[in-house]
Amino acid sequence: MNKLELMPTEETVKWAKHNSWYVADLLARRGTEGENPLIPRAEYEMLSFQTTFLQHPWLYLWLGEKVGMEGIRSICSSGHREFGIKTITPCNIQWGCGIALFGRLFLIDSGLIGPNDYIDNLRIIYSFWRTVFEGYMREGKPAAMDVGYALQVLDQDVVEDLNTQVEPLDDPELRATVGQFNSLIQLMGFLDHYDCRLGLGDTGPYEVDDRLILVRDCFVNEKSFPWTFVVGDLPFSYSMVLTFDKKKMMRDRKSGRMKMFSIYNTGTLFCDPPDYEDQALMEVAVYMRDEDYPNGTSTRIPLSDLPEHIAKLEAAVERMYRYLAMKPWFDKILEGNWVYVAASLPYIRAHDLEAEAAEMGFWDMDLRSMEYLLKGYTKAGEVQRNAMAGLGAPPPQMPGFRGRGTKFGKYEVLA
Amino acid sequence: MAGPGVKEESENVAGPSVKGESEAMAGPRVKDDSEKRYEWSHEEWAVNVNLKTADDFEEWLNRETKYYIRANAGFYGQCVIVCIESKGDEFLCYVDYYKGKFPPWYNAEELSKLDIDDLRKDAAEIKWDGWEWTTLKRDDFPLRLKEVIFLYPPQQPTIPWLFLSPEESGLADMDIPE
Repeated sequence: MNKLELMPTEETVKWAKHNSWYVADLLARRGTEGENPLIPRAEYEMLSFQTTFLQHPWLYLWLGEKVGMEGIRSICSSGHREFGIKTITPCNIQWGCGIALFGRLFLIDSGLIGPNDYIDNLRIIYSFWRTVFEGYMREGKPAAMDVGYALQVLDQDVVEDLNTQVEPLDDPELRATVGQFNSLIQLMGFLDHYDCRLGLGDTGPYEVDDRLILVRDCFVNEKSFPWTFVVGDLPFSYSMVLTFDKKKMMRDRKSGRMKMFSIYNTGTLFCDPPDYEDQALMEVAVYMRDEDYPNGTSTRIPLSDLPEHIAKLEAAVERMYRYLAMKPWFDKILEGNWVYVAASLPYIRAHDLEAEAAEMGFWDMDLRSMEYLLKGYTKAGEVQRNAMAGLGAPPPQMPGFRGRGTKFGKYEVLA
Repeated sequence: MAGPGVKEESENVAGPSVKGESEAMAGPRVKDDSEKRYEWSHEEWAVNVNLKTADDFEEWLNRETKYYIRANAGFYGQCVIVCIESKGDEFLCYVDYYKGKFPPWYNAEELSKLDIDDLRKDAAEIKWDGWEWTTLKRDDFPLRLKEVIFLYPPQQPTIPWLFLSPEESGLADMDIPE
């Protein structure tokens, strides 16, 4: 019988700690970024983390019964050959499960549950997450951190072919146009996904001869969201293939001029110095895709055609800002919730099960999520700071271990 | 005994040994798979060393344990579970140690000054207080450290010259033509 094979409860300790390490590191980098005042991010995160923690374990068990362990491992096989689809982007692959794990952290940090509550949910989520990642990166590891923040997903022959299609950026005017397009697709991907990184992601760096290569996918029109009508004239995604001067990067790393060029599990490139991407960028190719996998195809866009796409993107960004400005605050909490619930879409889309999952309640909310939101609402900002810095990934209490006190005494150690 | 990957290479770190400030009982020994407490752990050591103080334990960790997660905001020690005997009781507990600021709540200015290549040379500190991943307590000492459990395998950088310090990756000794 097909099923999701569950890890022993004790093994969740290993994955909770691993989770704590890389989330802390990610948040240390992300913490210096700005926030969009139009979007109630802390609040919608609180709701959606709980929604997915309470509801998605059934989804993962169901998917296990449908496709088995090998089917789960093969969820990302499309992302080894194609780009501009959600199964390639680490944020979508990681955070479908990762968001649910945050739900546990929020509930514990709010004092609403203890570390041993919903323990089966925890086992299911980690077991599914581990299995998906066995088939995601080339090395089969569960986090970019494990391989030195180089997140290689596409097969090498695909990358080598992409490297033959790039156009040089020697002309300063063309370079500026590409820079504008690059900024706009990232902004639109962010906005369409309620200011979160599910809307965009980089993979790489890949190595081909004297180049390092990044593939950047920006999902500017997710057609499952009701606000698709606001951005309906945009394709599902735009993608960029960016090549970098490897020898320059080696020299700069050696001299200390460049200290970091890292892709995180959100698909985010963090550089030190922060503008290093532009300093080493040499060539680019641009693509668009009409629909997510398993539908749609990618089409190359000559760089000379970028101005018309820039005009469409600028108009869509303006419409999306107007939409967000008009939307009542609480409605935006609900809409943000669905964006994070949709982080698990790639798992079911990969096996063409989206419609069946929707029929079974994928988009319905367990009312406990709302109950927990109301109880924890006023603590959202504080809890978010603690939980997302890795302070909220407590291990379950296990036999043989020194206990940590009562159900709610999460930081207390009893003699 | 260590697998391939990222190891701490600061000068004051050596392989498992029997030396220590506190009374040494026996050297750390890597358990084979049949002896391991957890099938899913990366590596487990039988240790049996008496440690008088919390400082002795921190020194022992820095000297003997080798695996760190090198992140961009700090280094995290991978030996997370220890088995100790203290005051007539034997139990497992968590111990978390790190290099850098933890929690890593850096402001932009602090982050811009942070140099991970330099930080790796520092000694690690145990995070003792208010932390769910350290359930060992200072007043458990003196104690006998019996087992050390490494949860997770070492990192294996795909592009070492990009990730590791130039000294560790060998980039420092390479000639890179224009």
